[in-house]
Amino acid sequence: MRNTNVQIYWKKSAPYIWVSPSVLSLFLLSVVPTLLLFNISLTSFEIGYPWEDREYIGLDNYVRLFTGREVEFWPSIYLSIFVTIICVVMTLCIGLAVAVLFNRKIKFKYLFTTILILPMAVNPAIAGLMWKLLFSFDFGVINVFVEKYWGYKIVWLGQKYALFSTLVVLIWMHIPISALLLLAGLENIDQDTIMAAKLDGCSDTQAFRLIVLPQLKPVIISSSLFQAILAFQTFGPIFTLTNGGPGSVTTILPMFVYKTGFGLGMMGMAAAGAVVLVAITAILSLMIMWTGRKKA
Amino acid sequence: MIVMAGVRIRGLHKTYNRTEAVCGIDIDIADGEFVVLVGPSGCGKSSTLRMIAGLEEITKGEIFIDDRLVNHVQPKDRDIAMVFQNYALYPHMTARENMSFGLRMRRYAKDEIKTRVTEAARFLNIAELLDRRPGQLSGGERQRVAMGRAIVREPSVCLFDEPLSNLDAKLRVKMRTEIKRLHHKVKTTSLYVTHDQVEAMTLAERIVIMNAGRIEQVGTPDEIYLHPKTKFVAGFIGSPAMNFLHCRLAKEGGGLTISLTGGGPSLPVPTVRTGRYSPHLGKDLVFGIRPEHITQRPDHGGAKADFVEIDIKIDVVEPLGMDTLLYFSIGDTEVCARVSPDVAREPGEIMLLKAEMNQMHLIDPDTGTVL
Repeated sequence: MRNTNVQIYWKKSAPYIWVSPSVLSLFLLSVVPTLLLFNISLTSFEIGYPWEDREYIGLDNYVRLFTGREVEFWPSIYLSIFVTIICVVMTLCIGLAVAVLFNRKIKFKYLFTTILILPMAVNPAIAGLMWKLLFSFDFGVINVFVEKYWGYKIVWLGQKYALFSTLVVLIWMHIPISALLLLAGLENIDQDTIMAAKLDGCSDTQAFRLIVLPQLKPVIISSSLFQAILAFQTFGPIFTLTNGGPGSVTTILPMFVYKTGFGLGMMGMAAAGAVVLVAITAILSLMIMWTGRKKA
Repeated sequence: MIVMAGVRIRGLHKTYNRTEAVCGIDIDIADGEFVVLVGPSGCGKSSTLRMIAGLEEITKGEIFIDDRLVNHVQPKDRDIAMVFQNYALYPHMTARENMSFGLRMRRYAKDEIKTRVTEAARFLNIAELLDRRPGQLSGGERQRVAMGRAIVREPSVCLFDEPLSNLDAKLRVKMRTEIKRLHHKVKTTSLYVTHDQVEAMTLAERIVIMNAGRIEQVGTPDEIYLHPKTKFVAGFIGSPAMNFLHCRLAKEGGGLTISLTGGGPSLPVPTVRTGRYSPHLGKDLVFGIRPEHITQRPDHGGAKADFVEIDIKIDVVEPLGMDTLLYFSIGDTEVCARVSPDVAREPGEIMLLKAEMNQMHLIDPDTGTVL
């Protein structure tokens, strides 16, 4: 009898025991740091002062951020939104074009696929450094071509073009994910529906617009939200490429957090900015999960 | 008003990476005719269908629809509708939108579209399903919507690419009847591709049998069944398949006899066929007879001399309800007979069966042609 009770108990608790290592590590690496971050954001903690000297100031840091007393906060939010929109739109358009191309029967498809996913394999900070060399005014390859065709050089990382150059790098980095997701979506579409549409009187363009795109919609939404998260969180390439400058031309929200925390030493304020970043990312993640659930 | 059109195919070839899938076929389909293209997997029947639809490029040859060469005409301009094996319904549209899509693309008036869709839906018994999406429909319902999409356009040619192969056996029989009823009503020129010989026999006005990219025989279902021209056709049509036994033609008395080389009784050739088979005297041939022509009580008429009695030892019994199949050996070859269930015995028992010799076939093993 006792043996049976133990068996029932084991049967009930076994699933929890099996998943507990993952849950525990997720809790320690994800939930605990976020809670600590929120805790710091409620304090006046600054680098250079002992941890014990911190004061709990409630939501003061958030009030300062949202009321615009931290002058770089709102511009960094607006810039983040702008960068995100441009990145999402461009990676979607270029990714879709690449996916459509790769969905056809082309020679050396595996070779091209490998080349396509290369930007994904490069460490973001290294990618920033690599592009910094390419954009270099004096010995960058890009300026060699620009000078050859137009007769003058461009200060790619200067006030005028720094944001454009940053966007180029971000789009270059994020196209592979978008293209691969859309390619998977395209490959899932029943080719016979396209054939049927052609027999129903569609041209190639109409078949793409009226039959392929609507079937690709769930993938487009998921991919766009995923791209939005990537763009909103970008730090590495901007850090090595422009360090948020010149001035604050490329200071998006993660750069603002970094500059406030490690530049100005205002850890409490930086933590509040980071909490805002986490909240925005969480909302976007929830939207991805919601679209996935709706599809299922 | 349905505009019907004939289809004429001349010397059609299709090559994929140096592999010839279709090797120069000629087919004529008359206005309003229902032709079934049947053959085993990979025989080139679907490629032929897709070339007619314009969905595959033609390697060589010509396709005419209503006397118009359509080799380089876009699929949308060929006035063809097609029912696909996996239905190919647009998943993001309702059944109504699926059915009306072709008409909307051709800019028909709203009232006309509504009338046609409603009429087709009523005929196909899907009127109450029109606002559902394909994902909310069963396999049979989806196939009806796919057929509805094809007929509302009133195309000059309707193509069917194995439309019933995804359905379960019972539904397949039901839909087969519906396709036949549909064709009787709309009389559109139809080409139907299948690997199922029962579908071919039941639906077709004429059957085209394909094998390895070539046409083996074209004929009405009766012609194909009773007078196959090749061993392939003889073996492909009919279920269970025709029995084939190696034999030699010998002279005995005033007539000819078939001596089975694998062992077994000598079988006298009916006198009416003596003249036809005489030139092949002494040659190694293949004797073919269908299971339904080896039975216990031949009651199909005919002279008594046309029946040959064979003693057999039953190996396997397969009751089908209406008939029973008996498997036994003649010499070293397994043979199947179809008998009435009330006379069938148990495995291991001895039975006397009669072979209906006026239904036999002799085949030249070198050319595969029926003599």
